[in-house]
Amino acid sequence: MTELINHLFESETFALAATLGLFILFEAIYQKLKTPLLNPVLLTILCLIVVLKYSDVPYETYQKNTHMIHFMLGPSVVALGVLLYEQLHTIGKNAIAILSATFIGSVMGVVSVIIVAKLFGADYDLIVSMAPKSVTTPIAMGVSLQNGGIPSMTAVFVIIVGILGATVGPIVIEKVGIKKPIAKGLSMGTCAHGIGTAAAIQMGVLEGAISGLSIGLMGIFTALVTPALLELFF
Amino acid sequence: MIRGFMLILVMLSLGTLINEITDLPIPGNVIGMIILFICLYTKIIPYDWVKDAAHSLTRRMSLFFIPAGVGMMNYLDLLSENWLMITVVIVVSMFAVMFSAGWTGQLLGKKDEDYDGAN
Repeated sequence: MTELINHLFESETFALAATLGLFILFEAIYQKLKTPLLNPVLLTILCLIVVLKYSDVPYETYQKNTHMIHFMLGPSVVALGVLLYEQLHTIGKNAIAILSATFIGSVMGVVSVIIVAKLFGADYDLIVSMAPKSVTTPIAMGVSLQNGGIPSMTAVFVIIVGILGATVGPIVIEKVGIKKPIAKGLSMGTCAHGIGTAAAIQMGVLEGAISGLSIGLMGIFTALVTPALLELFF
Repeated sequence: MIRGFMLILVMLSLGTLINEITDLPIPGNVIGMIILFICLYTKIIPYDWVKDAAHSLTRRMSLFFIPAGVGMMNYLDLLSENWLMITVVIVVSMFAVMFSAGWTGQLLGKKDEDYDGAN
């Protein structure tokens, strides 16, 4: 059985079909039960990791064969520009709120990582690798590298935070009284970048557009404040 | 639809090119998003040309993160060795960002009387 699965994952067709099939299955379950905890992305990823580990399929094989799906990330981020345009009026009226929220979010993101990780006695390179965890992968890896972190490790934290944010974010945001669509979009985009934005789009068009905008702003601010904050704490 | 996809890919290439020739710490896809927005704003690209392609991409965005997420499988050792610290750091910091940005937005954001809630 494991050999058969291993052999099947050598083919692009099967790897793509398995990924899409699992996603469709988990999305159907999610639509039935409507609880954000059953995030289809999270469940598909966990399921694939279990299957690939169990059948000894190296990640590199899976990665190569599903590159077509991964490729679509770039165009989908660019496409957020259209959502921004659609919400232009609202964004213009809320420019100060958007800029303040993303700036405060970026400082809080880095400072909280430094303080908590220091309490655990974590090494400097691990702390720096975690600091940009709320930022979209390409920016986060750049920030990590520039400040002495390990970029591939950073990419893992970015993904974990994104999935966690997209999964629990929609529940928590409602509970703590963040009600304006703009504020919801800012919460999701600043804490969970693209994966959070994918979840924000489910809440509404405005939430999605603001979330998409805050990915970029969060990235820029984090790149700017991280060196200064590290200097302050070390 | 195809025209829309083509334009989005052109913006992505432009963004990637700008990222490569400048030393901007912003990834090519985010630069592409900004250029596309500017082109729509200045009417260089008509909204109707890209609308459908863009919506079909953003609606399915979460699916595109799966291959990268599966990449976590290469770091299971690192994660299991430091799981407690990593869990606490990630949870605390994620909520710190979510709440600080969310409440700032809630406090400073305008009343959304113009928001029609259309989806």
